[in-house]
Amino acid sequence: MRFSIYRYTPGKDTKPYMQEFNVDIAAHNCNMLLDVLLVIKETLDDSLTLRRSCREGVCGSDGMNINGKNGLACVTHLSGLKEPVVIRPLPGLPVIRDLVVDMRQFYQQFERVQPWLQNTDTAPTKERLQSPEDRAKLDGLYECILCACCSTACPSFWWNPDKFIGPAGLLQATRFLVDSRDTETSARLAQLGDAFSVYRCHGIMNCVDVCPKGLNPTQAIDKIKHMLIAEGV
Amino acid sequence: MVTTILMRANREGIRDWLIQRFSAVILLVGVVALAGFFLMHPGMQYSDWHDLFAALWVKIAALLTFSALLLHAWLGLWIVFTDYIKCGFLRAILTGLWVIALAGCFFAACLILWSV
Repeated sequence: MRFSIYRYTPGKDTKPYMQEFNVDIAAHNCNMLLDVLLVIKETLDDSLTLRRSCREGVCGSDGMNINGKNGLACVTHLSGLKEPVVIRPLPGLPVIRDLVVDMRQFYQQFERVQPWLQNTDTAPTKERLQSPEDRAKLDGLYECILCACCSTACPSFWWNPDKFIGPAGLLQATRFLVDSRDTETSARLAQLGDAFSVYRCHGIMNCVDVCPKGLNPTQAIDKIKHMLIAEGV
Repeated sequence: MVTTILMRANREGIRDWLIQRFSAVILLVGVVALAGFFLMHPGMQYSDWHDLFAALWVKIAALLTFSALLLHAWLGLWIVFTDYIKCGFLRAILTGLWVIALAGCFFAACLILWSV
């Protein structure tokens, strides 16, 4: 099977280039794209650089652009890919080397939504209880693995990565805004009413299209918009 | 208290979002009303068109619809400018030109409507 992989080492290469590889996937028992990348690294070119860890779609390390669409290499089956398989780093973020991108802008936006439970009430002796109905409101939100596939597929994040929080961060913002145990809903919303943080989302739904966990950030962002309207008017 | 102050100072996004949606609704109503007028006057003459805009309430409704269009266009292009033009100086010039063009359109619309 043929692969065309983005290569770039700042300081060594004057500009990025695509390198072709041919891999006998049957001989190496490769099922997933990550298997192939690791075979290439182990047998053909050990300088190929990529992130990976759990190899089962949980850690979110191996997000990359596969045949033009962001996804996780470890859960991308080779049988569904057209040849040559073109693999590039996640778009919109600075490349550190080959398929490894600098995620700082992504994490800075994630940090902005203060992704932790905030409760100013007196702490109970055991735990803060939540009804099954309230707990169900977190479904579809808490499962995000921060792979950045969604935010780096979003043109609004490409053009304004310093101002627009991005779908991943806003999904997490919604997760805490709707949490019945969080008492800082108004303070959280007060940080989101400007023209960029949330409202730069125009609902094109690239995030929904690429999310490897099947989540719906656009719906979560709409929820924030409606909460902002209800709170601000 | 702090939250209320922050919310008031930090709501341009909410304001713009509401303006876009309300202006879109006004535009839709205007287009449907105009389409209805065309359907009711299949062999329309200049005199029908003139009589329509001679009424004061039509002038006001037309100006309201046109204002909604200008507001919608202002926000749309402002978003495009802030997305794609990263040079602040160039963006300021283009934004200024866009404001002048929209203001010109508004005054032209007033002149045309009140000349009927």
